[in-house]
Amino acid sequence: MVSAEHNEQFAVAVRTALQSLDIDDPLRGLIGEQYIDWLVSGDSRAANLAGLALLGMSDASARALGERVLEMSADQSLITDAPHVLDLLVLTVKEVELKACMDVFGLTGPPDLDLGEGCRLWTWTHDGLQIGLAVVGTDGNVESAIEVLRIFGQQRFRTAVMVGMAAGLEGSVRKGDVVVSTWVVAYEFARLAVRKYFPRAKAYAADIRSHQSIAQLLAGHPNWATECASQLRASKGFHGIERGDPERLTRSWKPRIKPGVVLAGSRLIEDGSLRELKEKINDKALAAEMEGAGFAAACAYLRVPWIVLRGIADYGTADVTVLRGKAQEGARGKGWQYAATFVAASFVRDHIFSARVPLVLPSSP
Amino acid sequence: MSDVLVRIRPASDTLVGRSLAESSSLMEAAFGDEPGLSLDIEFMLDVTDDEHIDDIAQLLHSETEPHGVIFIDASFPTDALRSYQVLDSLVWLLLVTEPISSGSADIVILMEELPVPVDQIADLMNLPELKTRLIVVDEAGRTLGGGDATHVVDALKSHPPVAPDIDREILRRRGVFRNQGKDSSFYSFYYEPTDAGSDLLERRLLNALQAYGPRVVVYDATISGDWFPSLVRAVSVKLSSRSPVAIIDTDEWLSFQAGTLTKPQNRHAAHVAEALKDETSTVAFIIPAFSSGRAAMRTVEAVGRPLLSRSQIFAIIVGDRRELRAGSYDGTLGASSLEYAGSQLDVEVFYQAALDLLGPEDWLVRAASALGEVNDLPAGPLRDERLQTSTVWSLLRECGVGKESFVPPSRAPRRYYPVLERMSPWDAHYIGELVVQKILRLVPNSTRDAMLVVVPDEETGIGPISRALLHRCNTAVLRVPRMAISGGDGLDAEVTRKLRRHQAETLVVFDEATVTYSTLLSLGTLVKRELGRSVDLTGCVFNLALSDPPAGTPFFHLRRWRAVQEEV
Repeated sequence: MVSAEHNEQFAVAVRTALQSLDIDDPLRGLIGEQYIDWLVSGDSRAANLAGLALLGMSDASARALGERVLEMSADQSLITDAPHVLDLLVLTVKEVELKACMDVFGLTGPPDLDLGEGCRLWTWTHDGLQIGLAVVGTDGNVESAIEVLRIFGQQRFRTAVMVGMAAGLEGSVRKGDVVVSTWVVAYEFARLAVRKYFPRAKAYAADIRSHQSIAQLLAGHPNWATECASQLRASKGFHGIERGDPERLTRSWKPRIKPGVVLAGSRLIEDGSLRELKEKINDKALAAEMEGAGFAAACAYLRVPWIVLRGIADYGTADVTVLRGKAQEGARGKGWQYAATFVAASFVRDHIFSARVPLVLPSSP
Repeated sequence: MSDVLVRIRPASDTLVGRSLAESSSLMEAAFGDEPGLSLDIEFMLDVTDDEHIDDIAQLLHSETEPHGVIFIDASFPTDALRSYQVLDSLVWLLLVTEPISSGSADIVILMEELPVPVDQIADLMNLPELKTRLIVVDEAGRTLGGGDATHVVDALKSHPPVAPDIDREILRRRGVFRNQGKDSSFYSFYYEPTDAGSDLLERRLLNALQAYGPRVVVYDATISGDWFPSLVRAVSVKLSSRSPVAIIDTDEWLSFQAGTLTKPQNRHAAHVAEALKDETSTVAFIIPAFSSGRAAMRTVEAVGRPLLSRSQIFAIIVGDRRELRAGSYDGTLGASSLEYAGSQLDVEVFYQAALDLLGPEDWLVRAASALGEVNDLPAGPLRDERLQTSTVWSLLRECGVGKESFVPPSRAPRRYYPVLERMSPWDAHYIGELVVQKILRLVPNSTRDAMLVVVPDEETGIGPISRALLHRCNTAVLRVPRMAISGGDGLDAEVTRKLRRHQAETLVVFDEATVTYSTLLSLGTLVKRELGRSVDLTGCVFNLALSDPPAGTPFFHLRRWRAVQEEV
């Protein structure tokens, strides 16, 4: 690692050179490249930021450079003892989500790696892309962050996707729709002053290339949603929506894909407070769940481009009646959990595996 | 055909002395006709290739008519001759194998100095059948042996002496250098003449001082490396063999005046003071480098103005901002002048060097300062050291950066690529020397003489560096055609023959830059296929690859950064 002092010296020297050389002097470009390489080698966080900033620029060559920076940055993972870097990690949380993902990806059999505590990893190749599917085994942001780091301690990946279910904002999304994260917001951070509540939510920006092109992508594949719905119905793991759920999977049903903000906290929302959260935290929020922020924070730490896809399984309301002991009470319905995850996983398989949504970076030469 | 010329050199000293054309001209002057056959022979340390020498002997035999002359120009440092003994082998084969031994061809060997009795060549001269046919002539015109060499000695006198190429022996280090003093100034270069000291500068300085005849020598070593005081002392010792010369360093003289010297030092300085008092004695002020004139004035001031009428200033190196006039002393390059106390003082100079003065506001100086890479003068001899960031920028500011031009079809060009083919011979020498120092450190027990650097035969960036390695860094270089590297045809017979003949102890594969290591690895494979052994080291100046070299490849580079490819 490059020392902070040394890094500062080099930064000053580079700034001096860049400020003095003509804008079109190729030496300027070469020194800029040397600096980016320096960042990638010595200060991975700065490199990641530089790469993302370059990606956002209008100049095509700057964007290409940004992609290269991110790629080089990803190659410099702090985890050094992993033998081989795979292309994409698909991470899910609960067993029902794992089941849906395995069905979609056509996986059977025991995992290739069992890390204990319910965390397991399957790996396979799809059209030349080396992929891993892992299940965290328990909910919670802290838990998912820990498990991501544990997984990367055994096996490195260039990119990561979290796939699963979430509560959706009723009226904006329907059950079975998929929210593709533009941001994941850890909404529970706040300052509790006397008589006043100051929200201090932490936001994690998902890989920007993914959601920008989704509308275009879907416009180019108008039958995808219909095909996805029929695949769901034909899936062995799908046994229909449970009878008590008021929202049925009709013959004409087809899922929609919507970019939006995903709220992540430690609360399992069943009281209908999601709309209030949207108004307080972020008016573009479409879904709420309990693992995305931990996943995002861990990926940022590892400098791995990431995205969260959440199928909407409920609205965070007590919309079904369950029997607890002898008493009946309202609860959120679980009938859409498999279906919602199935759609999200199908989107990953059909669009991210094929790099139509360019989250997956090419393998390093 | 009648006469034959053989020019023979160690591979590491290929360019020492006369060229083949100059030797041919000398031979024509001596024997009245140009040689019918000219051979340029290069050999390596511990040559055991008797078959090769035998081939040469047979060739000479077939080309030489009775009563012809075989003129062997072996005028290179005799230390190499004594060590390598290849000349002995060649002469032995020439003289003792039939039918030359029974013929009457005269053999004249031109050497830098006459052989001494321990040399095998001297033993050969005692053989009865050779006593009248073999004669050795040295560069000073002295002869050894039974034949008549008057015509060769006369030709030597009428021909210009071997012009030493001092540029080859002075290393110009690139970087940001600060001249310590009141008004600190910065330079892009530092001239390090250690290698030129004994060979050239000593000879030039000695000639000049012998012509001037000083009684006292005062020298200022404040801003020089170790080379300067040892040069002055060596010259003074030789001067004193004719008549006594008192010598003192400016600092020592100032301490003497301040009364801070120890007793023995004081005795020595008092002796100098005594000599200075003698109004018939002349004084030589010698300074290592003459640029601003500060060092010269300091020396003159220290000793005293009254001496100016019987003194002369000599400077080893002068910055090129001063105009030179023709030299007034034998062996000097030219003269400059120093304005002092309203009058112009002549300064005799031996070597004119280009200076590149950098202002304190130059971005390179500011960048080097930020990086802690400003080097104080004197910088001293080059060791195995890091190629500084600011030095890379300084080099590329001069040779330029462009899109990579020669790219294999399998990959896209790098967007910003050093254009090292524009590198000056000075910079190529500096880079080449850094490479040699790196090899000497990384390969245990390696020596410069026993090193062979295998490079692609291209006029890209490796061109200037391979020339510098051969001509200035005194290493053997073998250029392999690009077709052999990338075409899969293997090495042609000529390259294979050269590769085998070098018999190098240290084999290094080298290129100026690498992006995928493919050229370097292919070269290594070719060498291994021919010699049955792996190369000792693989390296480049700039490593622009995204990945590390394959495991198990001993590899070095002078600088590395991962270059971005051009968008296609």
